[in-house]
Amino acid sequence: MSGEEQRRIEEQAREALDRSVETLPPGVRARLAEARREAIAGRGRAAPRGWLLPAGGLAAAALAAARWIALPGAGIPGGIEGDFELLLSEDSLDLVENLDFYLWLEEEGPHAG
Amino acid sequence: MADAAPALERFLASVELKAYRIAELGTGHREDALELVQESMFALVRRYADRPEQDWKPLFYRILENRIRDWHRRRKVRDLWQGWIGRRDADGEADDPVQALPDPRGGGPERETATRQQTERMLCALGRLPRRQQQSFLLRAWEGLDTAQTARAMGCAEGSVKTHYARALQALRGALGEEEP
Repeated sequence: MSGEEQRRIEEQAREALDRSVETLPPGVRARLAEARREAIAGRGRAAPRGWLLPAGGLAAAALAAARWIALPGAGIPGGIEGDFELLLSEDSLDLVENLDFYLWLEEEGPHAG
Repeated sequence: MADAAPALERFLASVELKAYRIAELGTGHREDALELVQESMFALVRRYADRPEQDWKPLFYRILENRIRDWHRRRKVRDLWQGWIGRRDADGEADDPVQALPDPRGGGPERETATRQQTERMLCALGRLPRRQQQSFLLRAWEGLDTAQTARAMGCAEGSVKTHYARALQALRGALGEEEP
């Protein structure tokens, strides 16, 4: 791909994406602004995770079912249980992010923090 | 840390719209995209407010990408479970992100239609990219992260970013070429 063609595609993409943001519905903009203010005002506490709650409940039932079904001769793949565990753990995101942070600190050296 | 609040607010205001669109392209769901961005804002403020300002953008997008990845993992398991019990979740389907877009530059109905179609084609092509290609392209070409920052945000080597980016460009060229009249 030529440099000119690459720049053309990049420019087309930027224009389309910028336009899609410029025309975001006012309701979406308002909710993002509200989320930002809440994040600043509520420093130190976790975000509400409304969508995780039903998923967590569903996952609990799913894990119980998976453990029951995953008997010899049953059809569920054994590895999938790890995904159910992930569903059950609302702290998993925090753990992943902290691991990332420590890895980054290690890469960056003494100037990282 | 209290002094960081105005700078944090300015930073979040500067990224929130793009972050939302990136999350929406990454998930195909408006409501979930909003929640993922909100969670990422909270996580950044809670954990990294005292980090240097220049670190906030790659950190924020790293958090967001982690959230999107975990969203996909949860979604996959949830879909599997729902398939087992024989019901499908009918809500949460993606809305067309460019539906009813007005043309801010004006120019009449024909121009508006052409611009909308062009925008729609590009967004659809971006939405169909594999996740890693999509991430690398959006973060580099749109959010303006350099290769090193994109690598931090994606949690991979700079060489991988370059590979994903090149493949994204090829895929976009192919997708857009196929659809051109």
